[in-house]
Amino acid sequence: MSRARGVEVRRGLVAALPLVVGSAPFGLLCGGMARQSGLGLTETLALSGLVNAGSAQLIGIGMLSAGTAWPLVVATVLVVNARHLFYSADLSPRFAHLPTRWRAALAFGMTDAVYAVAAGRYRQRGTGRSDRAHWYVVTVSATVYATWLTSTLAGWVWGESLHHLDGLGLEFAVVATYIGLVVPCFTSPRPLVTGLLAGALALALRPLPYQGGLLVATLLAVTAATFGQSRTGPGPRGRTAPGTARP
Amino acid sequence: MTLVTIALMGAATFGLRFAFFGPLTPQRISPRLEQALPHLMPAVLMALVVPAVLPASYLSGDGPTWLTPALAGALTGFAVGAVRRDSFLLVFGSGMAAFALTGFLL
Repeated sequence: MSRARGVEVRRGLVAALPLVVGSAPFGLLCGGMARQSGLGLTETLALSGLVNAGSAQLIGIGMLSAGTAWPLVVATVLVVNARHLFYSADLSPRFAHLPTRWRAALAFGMTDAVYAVAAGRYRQRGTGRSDRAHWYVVTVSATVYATWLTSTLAGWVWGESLHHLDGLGLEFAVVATYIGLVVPCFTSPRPLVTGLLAGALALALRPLPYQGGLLVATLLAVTAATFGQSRTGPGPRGRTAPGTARP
Repeated sequence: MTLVTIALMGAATFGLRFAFFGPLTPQRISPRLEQALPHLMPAVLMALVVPAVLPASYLSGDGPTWLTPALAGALTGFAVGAVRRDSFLLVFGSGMAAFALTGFLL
């Protein structure tokens, strides 16, 4: 392993720690809920192993156990995970030089948290094609995925005796990670206003089913920011987040 | 049939995540979308954070207290982030510490 690659892997392991702390209770909950809903171990592990998306899984568990028709289940997953399309668009230039198997592996693990960490990593400094940052991303992704699978398994096996973990609020680690990643964006009023608008809209739209509020709030805030930017002049464009460029 | 449905759920999720990594190359991103993408990160992260720290029970007044551990942790994280914006570990650590301390005190 080259030195640069080793550095990226080590940095990725460190960056994944808060996500591990935050995703493990969620995985336990998911595993426990799957068992309570009547899903077998194979189905539960298949859900975590193939879908790898917490919110969609929790919604899917309810629909599967209720015997919902498969087209409706798949359509719901598409709606719940639609925001991942934008993660893909945002990061695609960073991965364009990689072989297909690499891009497929990176896409598979691109959860909300992994996207946030990856986008933050790529905005820390300019990256060229020779950069090894994809090793950082795949390390975070693989670590979180392994945690997700393991905790789902533990949740299914020991779900009943692990319920007290739910009350500890360990999932706040993921929220704290998001806060640590979003504050570097706030270097000018525009991203701050965009973020506050998205947060307020997400609160107001929370009653929408299937986490639709998150998607709609994000789209509305991004559209407003883009519209505002086009009206007020050039401003920051391209691949660098507003105000996040660093030397 | 359940396993087939789960496989289709996984395929749908992967399709969304892989769309611009594979079939739709970066060159096919419209200029309008390209202009919007830099705003994505602050928008989506705040859309995730705000509802997570302000649960529905809090807003409806049914919550146990006005200051929840999650809200205290978030406010502390943002406050520290306002001063030390680029110090991820400090922001993360202070938020977690405030969360744990508030949870202990309440």
